[in-house]
Amino acid sequence: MSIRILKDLSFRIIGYAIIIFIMIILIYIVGGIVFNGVLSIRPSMLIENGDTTSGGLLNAIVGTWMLVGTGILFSVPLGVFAAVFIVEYGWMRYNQIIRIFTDILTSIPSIVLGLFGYLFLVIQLGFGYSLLAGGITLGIMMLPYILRITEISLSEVPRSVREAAISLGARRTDLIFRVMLPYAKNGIITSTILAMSIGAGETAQLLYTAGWNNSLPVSFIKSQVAYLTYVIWAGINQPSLYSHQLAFASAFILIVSVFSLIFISKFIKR
Amino acid sequence: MDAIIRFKNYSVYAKKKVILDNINLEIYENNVNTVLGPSGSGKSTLLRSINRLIELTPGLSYSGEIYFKDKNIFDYQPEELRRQIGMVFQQPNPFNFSIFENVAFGPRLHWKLSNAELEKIVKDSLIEAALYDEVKDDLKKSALRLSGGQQQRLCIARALAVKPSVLMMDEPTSSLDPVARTKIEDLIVKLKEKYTVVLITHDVRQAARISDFIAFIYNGKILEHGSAESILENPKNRITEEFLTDRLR
Repeated sequence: MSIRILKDLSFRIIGYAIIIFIMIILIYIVGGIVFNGVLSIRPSMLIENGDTTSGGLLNAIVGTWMLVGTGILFSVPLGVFAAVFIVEYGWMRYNQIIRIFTDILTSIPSIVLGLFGYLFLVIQLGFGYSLLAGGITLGIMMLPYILRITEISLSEVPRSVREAAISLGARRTDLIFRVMLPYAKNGIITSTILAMSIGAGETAQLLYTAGWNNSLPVSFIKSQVAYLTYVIWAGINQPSLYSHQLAFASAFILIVSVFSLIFISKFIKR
Repeated sequence: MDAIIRFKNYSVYAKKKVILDNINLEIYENNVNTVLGPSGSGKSTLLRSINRLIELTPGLSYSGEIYFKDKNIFDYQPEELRRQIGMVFQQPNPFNFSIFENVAFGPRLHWKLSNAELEKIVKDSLIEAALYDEVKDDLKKSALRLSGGQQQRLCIARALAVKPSVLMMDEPTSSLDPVARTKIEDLIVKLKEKYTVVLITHDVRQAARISDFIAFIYNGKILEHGSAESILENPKNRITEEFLTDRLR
């Protein structure tokens, strides 16, 4: 056997080994959560409120999606507007600077964002631990994803298509609303779903901004919110089997929701 | 012969380079006016100057005037100018919408229309572009599913839907097969009854088949302009003659 064939073969074997190793880790984690989750989850958890040691998860499930929804309401309009400005109003020149900003924003540790949310939104603006404080903090984290993906889909609109619209007498606003945004629609939806799935799994920023509530929040500010990752964090520290079961059930619910979101986004991309 | 568009000492510069050099040209109403010339001679810039699409390209400067219906093009709102002077591009460029939405795009920009009025405009435009019979049952289908030749006729229908008086075509058949090309050439000849056609091509045979007037452009200069027969059979300029004979034999 020649050296080259041997080289090729050994590379292949190493490659397969690495892939199998990664698969095993993934299956171990996801499988462990699904296995424990299925054993732990009770139908009653889905319809009752709870406090991480007793009761159910309804307040945490609904709270999580309320926080994510608030984050989306904050970040999608802002991110899409910013992307339109960058692409359509000649801010493309500053693309490098904007890219550095968004990269920095994505790499800020979530606990630091949480601290910002606490100091600025909870204390300074007086929102208190609340839906608005938690949601906006999540939204700040979502913003770079929305901005980046929308910007890419907008700049992928072919020049010929833009020229077609302009040669028919389209004004700039017509161009943006009737051509660019419809073309970028899939990118906006995909980035929104991605941001939702990332947001749903966040913990650190919410510790500082959302608090905890044994039932559902009654208003946008000064009313604390429950969320699933808190149940995982707090439940696993409790010396009771039921707390552990609540934690595993929360992890299971989160993983199922995130996987479904990813699946939906793949389906839309198609 | 009525000129609908007149160039007066019109030049375009990119930094130091001259792209169009002192153009004086008349485009005659209800005729096929062809601008013939090799690649890179400034044909597209000439066409894009007329509907001010050239303004999208940064770094160009202009001098001289262009008149459309005896009014300086800079005295028009660009949107209204572009409505009256339709344009069809080299590559078919339909929107990623349905066939109906493609044709309805322009009318929606300019007029408030009822559904029935809009449907009539779309239907009439598709008929005028000789596409209606092929697509009448799937107006809701994506325009990108059409063949290249059909897409180009859809682009013609889309341009006609805003009721222009001039239709400019920038090498409209260069990306198409011979059958699709013949269909579009036949269509152009029919369209001149109602519209003024400005056609850009580097294909001498195509120019010979459908032109009424030919302007020969070379290095940004119009070297010759006249009736199609006079230019093709009796070119006065040596470069024109070389271009014609190189291509014809």
